[in-house]
Amino acid sequence: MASPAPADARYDRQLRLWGAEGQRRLARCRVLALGASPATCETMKNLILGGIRAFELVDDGAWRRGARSAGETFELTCEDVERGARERGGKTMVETVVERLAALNPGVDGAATTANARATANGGKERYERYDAVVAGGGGLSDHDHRALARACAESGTVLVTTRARGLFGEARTSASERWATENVAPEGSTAWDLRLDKPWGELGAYVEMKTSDLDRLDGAAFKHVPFVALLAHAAAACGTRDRRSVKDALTSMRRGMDEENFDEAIANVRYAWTDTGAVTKEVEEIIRDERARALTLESDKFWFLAAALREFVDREGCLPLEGSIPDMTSTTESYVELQRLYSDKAARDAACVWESAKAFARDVGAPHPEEFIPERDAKIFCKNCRHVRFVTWRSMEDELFPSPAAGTSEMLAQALADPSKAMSACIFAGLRAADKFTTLHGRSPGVRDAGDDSTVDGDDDEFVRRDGESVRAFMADWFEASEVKLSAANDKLADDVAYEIARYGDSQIHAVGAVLGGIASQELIKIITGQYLPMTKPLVYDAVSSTMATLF
Amino acid sequence: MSRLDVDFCVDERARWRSIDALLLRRGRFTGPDFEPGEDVARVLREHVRVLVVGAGGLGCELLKGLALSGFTTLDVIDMDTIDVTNLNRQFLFRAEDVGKSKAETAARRVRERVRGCAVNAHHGRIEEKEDGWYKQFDIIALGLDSLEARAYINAVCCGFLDYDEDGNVDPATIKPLVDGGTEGFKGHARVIVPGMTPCFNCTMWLFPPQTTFPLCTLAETPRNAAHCIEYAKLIQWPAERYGETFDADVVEHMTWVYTKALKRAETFGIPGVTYAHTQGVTKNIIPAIPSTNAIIAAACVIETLKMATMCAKGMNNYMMYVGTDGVYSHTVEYERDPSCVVCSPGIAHALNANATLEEFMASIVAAYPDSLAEPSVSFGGKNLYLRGVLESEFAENLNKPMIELMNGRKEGLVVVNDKKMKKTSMRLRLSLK
Repeated sequence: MASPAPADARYDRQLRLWGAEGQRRLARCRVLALGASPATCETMKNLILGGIRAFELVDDGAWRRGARSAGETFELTCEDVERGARERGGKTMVETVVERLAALNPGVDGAATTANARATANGGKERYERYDAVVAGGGGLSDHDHRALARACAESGTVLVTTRARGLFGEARTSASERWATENVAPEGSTAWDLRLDKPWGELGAYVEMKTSDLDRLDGAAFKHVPFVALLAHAAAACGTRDRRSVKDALTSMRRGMDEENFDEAIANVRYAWTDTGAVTKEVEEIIRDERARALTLESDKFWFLAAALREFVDREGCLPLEGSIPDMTSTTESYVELQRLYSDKAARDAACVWESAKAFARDVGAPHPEEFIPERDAKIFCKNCRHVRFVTWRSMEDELFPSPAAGTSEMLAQALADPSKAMSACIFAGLRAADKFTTLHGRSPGVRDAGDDSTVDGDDDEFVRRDGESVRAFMADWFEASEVKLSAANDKLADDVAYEIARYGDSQIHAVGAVLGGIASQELIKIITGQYLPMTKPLVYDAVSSTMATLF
Repeated sequence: MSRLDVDFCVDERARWRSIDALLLRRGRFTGPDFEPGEDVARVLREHVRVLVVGAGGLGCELLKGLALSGFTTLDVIDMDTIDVTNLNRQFLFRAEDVGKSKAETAARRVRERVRGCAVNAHHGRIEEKEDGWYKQFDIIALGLDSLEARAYINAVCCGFLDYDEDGNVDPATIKPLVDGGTEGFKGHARVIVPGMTPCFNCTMWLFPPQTTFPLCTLAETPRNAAHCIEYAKLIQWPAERYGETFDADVVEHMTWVYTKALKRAETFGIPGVTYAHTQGVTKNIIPAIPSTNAIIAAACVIETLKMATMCAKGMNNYMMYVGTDGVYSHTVEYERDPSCVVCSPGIAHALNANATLEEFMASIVAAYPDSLAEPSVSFGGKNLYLRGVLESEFAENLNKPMIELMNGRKEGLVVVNDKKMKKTSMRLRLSLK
């Protein structure tokens, strides 16, 4: 009996999204987390619930200064903090957090390291090689530390997710080595079916002929159950033109009454009569003509072999491999199942062709076991999704933190500022850079009188906030100038307000803001790890004031 | 540390410093009439009561987020018990909690973790509570997965509204709602201020109708796995297991339906019937992951905090989130439907100058068949027609012209009640021409 094992039951609701293969990849993933901020703890909570293999959390938090952590993270209670401060030799703060996180899922191993997150971030790539992903945010990590991390992770091939929050403003960013996205990549709500009715292949043509040759002699019930696909192809062939009006008229003239749902479906889908659904798209063209799909070596990503194989298919057939699925439609069971098999058989044949030539390419470069080097499953998924597969690349963190005309990021920043729906996000991004500079320079965040973790906020310090806000604003001006971007008068005022607001927030880590950022960070990491869906490749700015999210660059 | 801090206690001001920065300091993006200071902090920590409806994926996140925002009096209502398939995202629950009340378990876990936060659990159906019960809360946060439950709470809250003659809402009667919803990588968070912003019913079009299959398709021309599964559940089950109610949570029942569906599919040559798919179809399972729930619930928490304190402007008024292709999010301002039967201050309705009460009633039943069947009508606080035991006393009004019943006025606000609407009154701005 195929009822699920108990282990699967826990993951049932997510298996319906990324399937057993996605879950297996997740279950192999080891994650290193730096800084026990709300955003990092929330990222880890979601990943642990999702079922990663293991994690290690690094933080040097001391119990004596733990009060704010009890207010910001769900993994620490006031009682923990008091017990920790009173007892000698008990658990450390990071051990307690790890224990709580690990309890979320008994299948996940957790390790705690009491160490400075900043020192770890600057420790070099050896620290990351044992991990598939690094999650960093909080723990006093500066932009400089994030850059050091990004470089080390790039060298060790580790996926990196960083977050940063100040009060109601925050950002999240992913980076990884370039990679293919081939599975679950069709756009949301996409309803275009690959029907090939404008150029039916042999078997489909025969099917249409068989279903429509005796149309007039069918009894009422049979007539109403001829699949619309056959009706449409027949009508289009009969009138010999691609004119919408003529095809519609041809269909209408074939009807016997007005209650034939199959004819309604044919008219609703009339565009398929002339839409070339197998056309080679610009995106596919770019991928298959890419130099990397020609200069194949044993080191090439296996999907480049499939891209090369797809090129051979396209050059030979003049169209893309068939996707292979059809929509539900009014039909008898028999006619529908026959039609469905027709499409899936053709798709399987097309995919087999592509797989064969991919294996031939693999053999050419000396791959000892081509069928293992390029698994059949990958070939099938690649062909099924070939309209939407993408080769995903990330920009360097430097080019975002220091926009320049050479990198093209200055222009993107200017575009964001000119877009009313993104101007605020661009100002927040600049503000976070300015606050980082302020913090590095003064050893405290803007708006924070005392860098100690147990300090409190005063109410009557408008003047102090205003002064720090002006400093932040000045650093923002420097940053925009260095980026060679000019602010409009309206954005000038917006930047003033953002700077003031950043000083007002100080180094506040609002739990719910961390939960939003951690949610995004974990979601993106899961997409990268499972190799499914399309990961975010641009920095995201979250503005909790107006509840908006925007990606920049 | 060499010295033991035997007297160490968590300082409340240090604990809440991150939230305090929002409450004690002036800002540039604050809400209307925000006055920073201890008062607003006190209101948040001592007075505001929030009800969380649903203790599932969103509800668990909402409770955690609200408690860590400084709210100290929370209530949570849910009728469900914990299932093993909840554990991938409903992080307040453990394997050993399976079978226990969601509301009670979630409330206990949050109380254990967040000092000073009282969480009251209500294990039961939302319909079992009197309408008045919902009045005691200042803000209601919804973490639901059903349209019906959202529409119910929306109707209850819109039912609290009082409008004056000119259609201005009495602010004291407004019960704000914060609503979240997720499906896989997609979700939405929205703020509903009844009487001010679109209510749930105003934007019903956002929710596509559910797909149902005609019985003749299931019986005669099944074409896919779902058709076979529905047939096994809707037709084979009642025929072969007469008298037994199908329970999707009983493994033997699910296995029976799966086996029947599989056999039927094999007979017809239809691929794709699996146990998991059978569960998905019979329970109408929506995929759910921890990350989307966390994002949406946290956005709702922030809106609740802003609403309670005005420490920042509110969301205006609907945020959608799609995480399948990178991150796409869009915040839009939806508009009220002036003829919303649930929240409109006065739906325009015109009749000829000498129309009678009976004609008026017939015309509104014809115009709003989904909401009205046997309307009771009042004008200016005076009943024109009542159903039930007193109905005969109003019979003489039936043939009177509306203009007479409206004291000679050609325009006015007529309030209509009907059993079909359950919770709310329909307000019609009637003009006689």
